[in-house]
Amino acid sequence: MEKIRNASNFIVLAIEQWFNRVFSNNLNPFYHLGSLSFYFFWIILVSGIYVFVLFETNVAGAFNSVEYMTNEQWWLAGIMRSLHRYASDAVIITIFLHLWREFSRDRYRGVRWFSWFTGVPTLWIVVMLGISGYWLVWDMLAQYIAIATSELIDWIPLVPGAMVFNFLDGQVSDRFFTLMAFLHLLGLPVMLVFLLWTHVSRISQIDFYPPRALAVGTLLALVILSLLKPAVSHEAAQLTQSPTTLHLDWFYLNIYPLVDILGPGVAWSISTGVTVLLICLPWLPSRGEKPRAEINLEYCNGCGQCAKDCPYGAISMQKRTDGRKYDFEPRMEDSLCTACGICTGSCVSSSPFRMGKDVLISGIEMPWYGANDLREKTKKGLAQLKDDSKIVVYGCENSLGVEKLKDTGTAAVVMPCVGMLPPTLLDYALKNGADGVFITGCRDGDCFQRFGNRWTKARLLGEREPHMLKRTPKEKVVVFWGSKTEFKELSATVKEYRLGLKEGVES
Amino acid sequence: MNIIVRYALQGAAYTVFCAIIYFLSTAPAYNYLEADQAEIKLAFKHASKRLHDCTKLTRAELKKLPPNMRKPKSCPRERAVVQVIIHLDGKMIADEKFVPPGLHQDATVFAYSKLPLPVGDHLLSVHMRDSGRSEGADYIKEEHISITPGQAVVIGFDSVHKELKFTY
Repeated sequence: MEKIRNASNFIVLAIEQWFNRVFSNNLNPFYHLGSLSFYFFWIILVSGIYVFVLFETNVAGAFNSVEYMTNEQWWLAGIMRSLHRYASDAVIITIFLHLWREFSRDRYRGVRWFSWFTGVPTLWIVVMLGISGYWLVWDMLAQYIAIATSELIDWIPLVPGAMVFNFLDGQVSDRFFTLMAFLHLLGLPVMLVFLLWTHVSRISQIDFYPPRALAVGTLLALVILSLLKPAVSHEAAQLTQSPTTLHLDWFYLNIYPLVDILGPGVAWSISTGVTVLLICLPWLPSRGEKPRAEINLEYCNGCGQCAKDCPYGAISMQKRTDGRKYDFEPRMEDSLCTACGICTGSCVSSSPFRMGKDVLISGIEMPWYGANDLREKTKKGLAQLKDDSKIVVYGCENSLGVEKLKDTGTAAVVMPCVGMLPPTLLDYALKNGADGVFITGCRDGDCFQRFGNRWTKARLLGEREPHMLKRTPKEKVVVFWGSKTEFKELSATVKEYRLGLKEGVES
Repeated sequence: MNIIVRYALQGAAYTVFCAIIYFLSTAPAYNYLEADQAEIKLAFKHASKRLHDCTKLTRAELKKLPPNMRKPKSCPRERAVVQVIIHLDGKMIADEKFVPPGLHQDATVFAYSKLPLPVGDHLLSVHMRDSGRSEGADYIKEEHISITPGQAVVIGFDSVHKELKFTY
């Protein structure tokens, strides 16, 4: 599985690299697949409300009302109908890319299993919404879908096999049609909202909207597509006829040819098999999680920065329980913690300058890798350097392999996420013999632990607590954000930086 | 990268995105039936005959039963398999058997099956057995039909008049 994931990640990274060049990191659609999906849902909702105003929810009037929208009021209702369809198709693309990307990045196992697990049934609801939408047009395609869906449902042994008889002779009952309209307009959307809420419930500070430029560009592209190639219907449904050639929407209706060719049993087996496989993926195999962060109340002043910075909402603040003068203390929800260490980076007590005990203990840190380990590694790394110009590279374990940069003038300190780095550690390194410090982590907008690089950048710029000491020369701190595919660039940048330092030292 | 080139490439990316959406939302076309084909749909609900008649129980047999289950007659619930044989222009094109559902095979059969049918004039003949017989037929329906492309011919069963019917 790891080989598959790595190969897959290599492809995703290569595609993303191209998009970074063309769109920039901030607007790279691959970094906003989740928020783009939400955005498409908004387009679907708004266009759907307009279409519903003109739509007749009965068998006799449904087709004609859709035809009216497409041909008579094409300039608004027609565009809305097309937008409704194309945004629905677009959301399938973004959902599958999102799925592929999270799998490739290995962000679906361990503590993060929940979002993956709840995402799979969400996909089912989205597909059911699409199918029921096509049903409501009540053209030959809708008739085909209605009959094939009935065949699928009738195949289930526990369901009395009678649904297909609704579509064989005479007219479909309005009650049945109204039921479908209810499912599409209310039942399934309510389920979708609930599942989406569940899907994102274990992460904090969710980006529900893509960047404005990306949102405008995408909407514009869909409107142009709607104008150039408006969505049209097949002929009106006629139960005495069977369809011949169908223009299927393969994003939603791909299961139906399978029903025709292989039968409902095989179609069910394939779809449930794929679903079960996807649901079980986080445990094939599962990831052995490292021990979670622990709170050391003795060193905590209850500032709440760790709760603000935690990307998974694993930390909340509660009333102080140890009788000290502070109002609050953090509380850990172990099942949400990914052991990224970002909380250690956000804690003021992680400062390596703190006096007192020999061992530095932060207010919050992982028992296997804490503020003291960072300080000791920095100290030890610096002690081993022999060159005139010495630098320390701090990097995360999920992006570029900084260990490979180690040489006589370069020390490397690796951590689970660059967000774990307390800014004062940079001051400490510079004060203890480093001529410069180099920070590297995941590409901007694409942190493995969601916000590690974002918070680090903000801390270095002094926009977010904690920050570096004011007197430390900031020009000695260099950052490089990149992915596994960009090690050469990192290596060249570090070399260049060291060369500059050397020249500075020599002069 | 030059800003004009970047915008051009962004435009190209949006175009590819929309092209994929448009293409897969309508193409490739799927031929459910060929242009020269129609379709037969065999579809009906029918409770077939019971396989065994009721028998009067002897005193000895009654005695063996618990007191609350002693009825003078024993009526096995099992129903016959419904068999439908379809001939088109004298050639057999389908021989379908529908086993009554239920633990005792005693529930109503929901028969449903589809067959492609070439367009043109045909003699459609349907034989149905619902009594467990292995020879002959309990119901027969034969009709000359003229079929156009895409037409759906539904073979049903009129449970009121106890006869097969064609709807097209």
